[in-house]
Amino acid sequence: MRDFSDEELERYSRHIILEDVGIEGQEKILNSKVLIIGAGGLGSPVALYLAAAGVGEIGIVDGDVVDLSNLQRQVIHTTSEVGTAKVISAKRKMEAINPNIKVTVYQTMLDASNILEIVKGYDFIIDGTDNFSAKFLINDACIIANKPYSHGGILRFGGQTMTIKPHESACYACVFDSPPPANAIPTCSSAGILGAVAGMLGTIQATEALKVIVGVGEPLYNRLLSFDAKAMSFRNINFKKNPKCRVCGGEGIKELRDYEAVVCEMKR
Amino acid sequence: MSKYEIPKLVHDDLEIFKKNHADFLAGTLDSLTFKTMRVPFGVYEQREPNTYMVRIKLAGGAINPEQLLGLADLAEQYAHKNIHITTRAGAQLHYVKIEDIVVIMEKLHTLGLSGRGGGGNTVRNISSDPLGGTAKDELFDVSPYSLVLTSKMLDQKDSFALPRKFKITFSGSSADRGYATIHDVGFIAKIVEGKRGFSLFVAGGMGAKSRIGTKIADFIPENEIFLYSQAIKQVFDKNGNRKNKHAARLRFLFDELGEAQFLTLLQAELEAVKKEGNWEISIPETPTERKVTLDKDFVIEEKYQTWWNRFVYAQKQEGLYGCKVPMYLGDISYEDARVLANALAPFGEDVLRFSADQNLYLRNLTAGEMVQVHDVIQNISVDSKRPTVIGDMVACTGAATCQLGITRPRGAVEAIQKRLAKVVANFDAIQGFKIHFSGCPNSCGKHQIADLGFFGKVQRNEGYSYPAYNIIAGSRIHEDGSSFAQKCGDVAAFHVPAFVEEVLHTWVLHVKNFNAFADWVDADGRGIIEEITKKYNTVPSFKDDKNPYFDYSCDDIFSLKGKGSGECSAGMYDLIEADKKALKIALEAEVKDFENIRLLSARMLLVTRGEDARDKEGVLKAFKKHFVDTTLLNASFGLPLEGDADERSIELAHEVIKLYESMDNTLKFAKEKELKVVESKTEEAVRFKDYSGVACPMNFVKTKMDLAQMKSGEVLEIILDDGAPIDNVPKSVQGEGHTIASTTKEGNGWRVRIIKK
Repeated sequence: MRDFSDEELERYSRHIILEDVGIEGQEKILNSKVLIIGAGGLGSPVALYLAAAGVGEIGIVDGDVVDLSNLQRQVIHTTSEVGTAKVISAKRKMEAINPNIKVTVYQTMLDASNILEIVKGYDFIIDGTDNFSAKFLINDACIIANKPYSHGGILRFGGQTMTIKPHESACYACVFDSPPPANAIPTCSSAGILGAVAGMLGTIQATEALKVIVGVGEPLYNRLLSFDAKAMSFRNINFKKNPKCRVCGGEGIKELRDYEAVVCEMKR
Repeated sequence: MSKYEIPKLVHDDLEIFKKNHADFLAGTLDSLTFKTMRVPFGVYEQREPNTYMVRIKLAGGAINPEQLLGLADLAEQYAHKNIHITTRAGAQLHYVKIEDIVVIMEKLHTLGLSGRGGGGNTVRNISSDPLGGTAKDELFDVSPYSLVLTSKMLDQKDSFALPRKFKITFSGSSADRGYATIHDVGFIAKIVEGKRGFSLFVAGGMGAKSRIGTKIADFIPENEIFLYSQAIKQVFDKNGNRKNKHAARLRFLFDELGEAQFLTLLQAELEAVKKEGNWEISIPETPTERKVTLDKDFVIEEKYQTWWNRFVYAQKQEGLYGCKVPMYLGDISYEDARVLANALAPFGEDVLRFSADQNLYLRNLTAGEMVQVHDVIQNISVDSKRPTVIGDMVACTGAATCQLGITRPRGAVEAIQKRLAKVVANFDAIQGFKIHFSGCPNSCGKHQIADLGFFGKVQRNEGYSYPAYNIIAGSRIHEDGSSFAQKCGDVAAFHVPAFVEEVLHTWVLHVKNFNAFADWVDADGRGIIEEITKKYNTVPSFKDDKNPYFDYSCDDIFSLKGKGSGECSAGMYDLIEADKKALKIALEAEVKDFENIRLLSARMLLVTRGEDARDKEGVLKAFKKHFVDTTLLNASFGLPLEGDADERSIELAHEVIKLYESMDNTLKFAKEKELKVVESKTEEAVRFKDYSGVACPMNFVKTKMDLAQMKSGEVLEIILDDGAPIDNVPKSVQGEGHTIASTTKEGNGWRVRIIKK
C-alpha cells in the first residue's frame, strides 16, 4: 500500500470518497500508464482529464502543430500557442494541472514501423485520431501488443466509441473489417464538427480508460456506443467477437502494415 | 399430582397482559397490537366481531372435579352456557366479553389452569392418551409426563414466540391413542431393560401438507423428555419459516432441511440445552392407585348392559372401570358440568379426562360406582344412549365462529344424527367407527385421521355457490405405520346425511371380513365409496330448490362473505406491515410529520426482537438498544433518536425499510450474520486517529486511507467533530460495508469505533 501524502489525499479526495474507487482504485490510477494518440479534438479532453485524475504516466503522440482552426474544439491548446507542436502545448497544460504526473511526448506520426515500440510501454491506449488508416493501424497494433484501448470517432453532430480488450472482446476490425474507400466518408475538415461533440466523446473515452484501470463497471466491450447530439440520443449496438476476424480471429495478424491514407485530400 | 404448575413467568406475563388489556379498553392500544398479545393467551376473537373465546390448557386432558366446577362457574358467569372440549383435549369458553378476559384469566390461575399458550405461535396444550393410567395395553401411565412437561414448557420464554404453533403429545402404547405419529413432537412409551422411556416421533401433523411423523429415536430415557422437546423447539425457533405462516410448521422445516441436517441441528441444540443445565425432569410419580375392595359378585343389571358394552371398559387395575361419555359436539353445559363434578367428587381427584376426540372419559370407578353415575351420564350425554358412531363424530365449529371456516360441520353432524336416528341398522357392529368433519382444509376437526373424513369446500352450480365437502376415508394410526385417510371424491353438504347413511350401511355388510375399516378401504372399499360420492355430488338448480344452497344451521344463503384470515398466527407480520404502510404514507405526505416518521421507523421492527413497547419513549429506547447499539444500523442513527425529530427521520425510515427487506424467514437480518463473524474478532483498536478539526470530506477520505491499510476484522478508532462529521462519516463508512461498532461522545467530539469489513 502506497502512502498517500496529505496533498494527494486532498487532490484525489473526490475519487477516494467513491466507494468503487477508494484508496485502492486511486492507487491503481497513480500507477497506470496511458498513451493518447492524437492531441486534437478527442485527445484534448482525454489528456486533461487523465492528467487531472493522476494517471501516473501519460504518453501523447502527434506530429502536427497547433492551427488556429483547431482551437474551436481542441481545448488543450491556446491562441498564443498557434504554431507550437501540439504535444508540447498539451504537455504544458497537463503538467500545469497536475505536476505529480509524468508526461512523455512523441512528436511524430505513427506508422507500422514505430507504433509497436511506442505502444508497448503503456497499459491503455486512446485512439484520438482523425483518419481510418490510423484507426485500423492502432487496432492492429493493440491486438498484436495485447493492449486494451478505446476507439473513438466523431463527425458533425455525432460520435461513436467502443472499448476493446484484445482477443476477448470484439475488435474494431471485427465490426468494420477494413477502411472505407477513399472519399467515401467525409472528414472533420471537409464535413465539419461541432466542437463540444469532441469534448463529449473524448470524456467518454477518458472515463472508459479510468474504468478499465480501476477495474470498475462495464467498459464498452462488445458494444459500440453511438450518439447523435442533435437529437441527443444515445444507443448501444451490441457485437460479438468475430472468430474469423481478419485481425483478431483465428490466426489473426502477425505483422503490421500501413493502410492507405484515405482521408483528407483537401489542403488544411 | 394432577395439576401442572403455573410458573412465575406466566404470572408475570399475565401482569403485562393486564396492563395491555387496560390500555386496549381505554383505547390507547390498537386492536392489532392487542391481538398479538391476547392470542398467545388463548384469547381469540370469534367470527362475530367483538365476541371472544378463551382457550384453556388441560395437560393430557386431565381435569379434577374441583376444576370442572370452577370452569362451570366461569361459563355461567362470563360465557356461553357451554364449556367446550377442544380437539387438543383442552377447554374453551365462548362468547366471552373482552372486558371480562382478565377476571377469567385470574380465576383460572386460582384453579391451577392457564390459557397461556392456548393459541398463537406457542407450545400448545400437551396432550396424551385419554386412557393413560388405565389402559390394559399401556406400558406405563404417560399422563404425569404430560403434566410435568407442561410445567416446564410454560416456564420457557421461547415457548410463546415460535415461528408457528408447536404440539407435543404422549402415547402409552403402540396403538398410539395420543397420536404421537402425527404431532410435531410425539412420545410413545417404551421400556428397555427395565427402564422407562419413549420412542420419539417428530414433524408429523395435519393441515396443509399433512405429514406422518418421522421416528428419530427408538428410545430416549424418561428424564430426557424436556431435553429433547426443548432442543427440537430451539431448532424450530431458530430455523423455522416466520415469513410464511402457511409453510411454517415444524414438518415444513423438517422437509426443507432433510432428516440428516435436522438431526445435526438437533444435536447442537441438545448440547446447548444440556449446557444451560436444569434439563433433567424430575420423574413424575405415578399417581397412587385407588384401593378398592373387589366385589366379585357385582352384576350389571340388564338395563345397563347395552350402555356398558358400548362405553364402559375394564381398566388394567382389577376392579376398576373407565367409561367414555360422548359429548355432543364436545359441549357440556355448566349445569351438567356441575352435576357431573359433584357426582364424581367423592371418588377422588383422578376421575375425569377431557379427550382430543371431544368427549369425556370417566376413570378409576368401581363397577358399583359406575352404575351409580349412570343416570347422571345419561342426563348429560344423549349420545350415551346411541351406538358409538353417533357420539364419536367430531366437528370443528366451522364458519359459525371461525374466520377461516368455509362450511358449518356442526350443522352437518346434527343432520346426520337426525337421519341415523330414524334408521334401523346394527351400528353396534361397527363400534368405534369415526366420522370427522373440518370446515376447511385445516385440520381442526382431524378429518385426516377419521375412518370417514370430511373437509369443507365451495362448489358452484349455475353461478351459485353451495357448501360441499371433500370426502376422505381409511386412516390408520399405529406406531408402526400411521397413514392418513385417502381422497374418495366430494359431496354436497346438503347430501351428507344420506351419503353417510349409505357408507355405513355398506360397511356394516363388509365389517365381518375385515379387521379395520382401513383394510376394507385398501381392498375395495375406496372404489365403492367413490361410486357412492358420485350420487351425492350434484345439486338441483337454484331456481328449483334453494335448500342445497344453505349450509346447515344457517339462515343465510351460503357465502364466503365475512371470511377473514385466521387469527391463530396473527401477528408479527401484520404489525410490521401495518407500521410500514403507515410509514410510507407519512413519507409521501407533503408536509412531513418527522415525529411520527421517527416513531413508526423505530417501532416497525421492534416486534421481531420481542419488544412490545408502544409509547414513544419506550420505542425509541428499545430501538436504540436492539438496532443501533447492536450496530445493525449505523451507530450514527442513534443521534436522530434524541430530542425532537427532524428531517433525519426520513433517512432513518429508509434505512429501517432497507433493513426489513434484508430480513430472512427466521427474522434474521443479513447484517446479523456478518456481525457474528466480526464479533469473534473484535479486539483492541489497532489504529487510532484524531480527526477533530478535519472537515468533511477529508475526514472520511483519511478514514478510508486508514482502513485501506488494515486487515479485515481489525478495529479503527477515530475522533470526529460534532455536527456534519459525526452525521456523515460513520454513515459513509458503513455504506462501504464496514461496521460501526460504537459512537461515544467524547469532549466536544465523538469517538467512533470501526470494524473493517
